[in-house]
Amino acid sequence: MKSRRTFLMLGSGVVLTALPMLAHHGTGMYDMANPTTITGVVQRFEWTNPHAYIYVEVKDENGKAVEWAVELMSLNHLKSYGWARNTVQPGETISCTGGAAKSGSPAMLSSIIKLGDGRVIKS
Amino acid sequence: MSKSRLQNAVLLWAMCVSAPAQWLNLPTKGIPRTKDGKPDLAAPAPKASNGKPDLSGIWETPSPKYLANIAADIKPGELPIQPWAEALTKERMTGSQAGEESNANCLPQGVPRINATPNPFKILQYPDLVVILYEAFNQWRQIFVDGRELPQNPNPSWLGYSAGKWEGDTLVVDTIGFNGKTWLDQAGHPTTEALHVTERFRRRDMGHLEIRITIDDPKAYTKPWTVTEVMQLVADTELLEFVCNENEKDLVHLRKK
Repeated sequence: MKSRRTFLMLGSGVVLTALPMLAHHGTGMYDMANPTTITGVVQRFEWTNPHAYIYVEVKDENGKAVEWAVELMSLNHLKSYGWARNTVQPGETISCTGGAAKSGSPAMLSSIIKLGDGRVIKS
Repeated sequence: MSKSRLQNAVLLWAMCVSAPAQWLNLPTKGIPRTKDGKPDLAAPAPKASNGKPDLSGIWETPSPKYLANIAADIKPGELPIQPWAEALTKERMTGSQAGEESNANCLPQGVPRINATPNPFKILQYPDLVVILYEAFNQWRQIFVDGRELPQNPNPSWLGYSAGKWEGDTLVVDTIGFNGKTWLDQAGHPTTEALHVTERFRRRDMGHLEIRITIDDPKAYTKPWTVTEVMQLVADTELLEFVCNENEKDLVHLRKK
């Protein structure tokens, strides 16, 4: 299940770009220069400010389940990207690309997410 | 009722109930449109009923450039910053104090940083008063345009006390009474209680609001300095509620261990 790797593209024609426009804090605690992708099953979706969160269960190399906290932008930005409060559902398999926490904890600030139905959407 | 008619009826009902509910997609009234129905952002700036330029609307910074570094347009070495403030900024730029800034603690961003914060703000303009509603952290400012002077010995505050006056097509806003706790940007350029901000708001056209900002803080900088930020109109939408403490989870990662 787990696919963690450095890459620059997710899906055809979508280039990982952009300094995240975070209203709330800097991005220094995330390694945005070396994007990472995780794939797993959505446990819950918190549609909240200052940031939305998706908690994703990812299997590590040993098959052990690890819950990642995937941070998204604030709601206004997500709305402009096409998100709504029910865009992802528990049980859905998604792929999230962004900067992993420099601390090594299972957390990331995501830039792009591939949803269960195949849509690729900024986050 | 046939199946198709039932489906049409359900669809019509859904359209009727959903259209008013979608405030975020309602067309903004009073904006000139191009032939394809999109806002004509290059149209002339509108006038208020009293003949002054009308700054009303929802605005947003087009990029995080000035949030990241308000001095981004100033050549290296040319920012008139005092040595202690420069040393502090360099230390802050390492990220070592990221957990100390007000914004990361869900406290106000201060002026002028609040304008560069990448959430929209809404200007409500009256003849004697301009109100700015900021989506970020549900904040607001009152800019009095009734001829009053700035307060003497004001209580220190996050967003200060603002008085404005019209100079031609420009609303000139002076703000004082800050608490010195805010950073001007994520880079960490400091402020003190001596900060005096002048914002010159000029609506270039329908879709662009220029804010020429002068920072005068003699306790941190050696002379006043000026930057110009341009906001873009955000049409056909509305502000959202934004309660920062609802789900704040970053601070624990930002603070020093």
